[in-house]
Amino acid sequence: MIVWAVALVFGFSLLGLTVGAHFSMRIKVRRKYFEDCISLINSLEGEVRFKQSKLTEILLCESERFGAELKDNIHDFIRFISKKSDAFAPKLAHLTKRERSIITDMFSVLGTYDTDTQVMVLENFKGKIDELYNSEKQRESKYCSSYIKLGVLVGAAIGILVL
Amino acid sequence: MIEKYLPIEVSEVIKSRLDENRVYELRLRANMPVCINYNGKYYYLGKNGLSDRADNAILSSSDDVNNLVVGVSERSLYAVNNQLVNGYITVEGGVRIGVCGETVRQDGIVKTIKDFTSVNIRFPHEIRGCGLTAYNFIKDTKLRNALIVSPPGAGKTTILRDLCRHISKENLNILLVDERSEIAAVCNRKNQLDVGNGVDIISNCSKSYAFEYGIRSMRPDLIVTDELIGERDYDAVLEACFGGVKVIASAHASTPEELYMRKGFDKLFASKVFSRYIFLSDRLGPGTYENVYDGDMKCIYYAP
Repeated sequence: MIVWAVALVFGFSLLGLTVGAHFSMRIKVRRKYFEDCISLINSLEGEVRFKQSKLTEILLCESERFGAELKDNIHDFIRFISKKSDAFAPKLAHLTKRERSIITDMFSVLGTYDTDTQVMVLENFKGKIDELYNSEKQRESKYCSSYIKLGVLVGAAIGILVL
Repeated sequence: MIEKYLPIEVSEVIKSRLDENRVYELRLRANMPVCINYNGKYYYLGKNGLSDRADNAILSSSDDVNNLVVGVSERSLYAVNNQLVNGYITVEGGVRIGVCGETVRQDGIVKTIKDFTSVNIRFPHEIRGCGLTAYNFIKDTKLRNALIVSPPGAGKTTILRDLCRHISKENLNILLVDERSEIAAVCNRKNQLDVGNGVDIISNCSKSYAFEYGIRSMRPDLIVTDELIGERDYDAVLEACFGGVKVIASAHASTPEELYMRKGFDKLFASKVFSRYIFLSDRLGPGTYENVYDGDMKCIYYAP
């Protein structure tokens, strides 16, 4: 009986841990995504200013070092500009409507200006994404471990209540 | 490459109704009918092909014009801005896209062009043998400095390309100064258009730079270049000729009188560096040979 009770509480705690980890992971994914975006903008600024390679070459070369989300967005964008798809509709399920609009706008202005203006426009987007990154980083340090702890505790509590 | 950036309607009509090899120019203007130079004559481009009437023509929107310019730059306007401020972009295959729009100036210098309003797409043609007549005038007892003269669209570049190919067989070191990348159309380090062997190519830079740099670094016997415009270009030619390098170039004009009227040309003419002036027109189609003059502007060949 005791073994069953412990197993039940442990099971619910594990479930709580999984739910907590899921919420925590969502914040981490968003933080990593914004971090990748800033890194992409930094690389683009350097390449546009000095090397002046074609956009597709830069993006293909850079995409390898980013997380799956931004990498997918970059590949969707390359397909769009190579006329292999009709519209650029990036998968941005982990972002809010406002964030989605910032990212889509950022992609839509790539390669459409001369060097100085392009760098200026990218700087502007970097500022906006930097704000999102900082807020997400704060949330990460504030909530990530709490979500996991809370998940375990709530799980255990539910287990005890069920008993 | 250009086809995929044209409005679908335009590219479909060209593909299905016209012979693509006879398309010389295509003009798209924002919210205006599409015009086409087909076999040397201008028409409107309608849904059923060529048309003399504007009301039958396909209209190009301002988005069509903008998407075309951004598209041909492979969505990298910053990478082609040096060309853009000179009014054109040259793309794969030597296709030259002339661009009009609003210029952005900074400290009195045009920094870029934005809000594109029209484009003129010029398709290059390789016609082997079309430069042979010119070659016979330029190479009689010796190789002469020569100027190929015609109004725009009369085949100067095509003839220069063929001339370059013929002369390259003579084992000379030829420097091709391809300012707009139209003659050899170098793309990814390969000539898209045949200019012969033994030809060194400098592209996408001013003639004054290319002449000075090219003479110093490549020691050419002959420099071939397109469209001399203005005193800086004339001075570059004079410097090269005085240094013992032969020059074959082209310039815009219909008659010797028009040529004299070009600013700074009198200096070039007075120095008598060119001993052949070969005039072309599109009277019987692009590349029609008109009169040929010697260095004193005495006619040595009358067009029939």
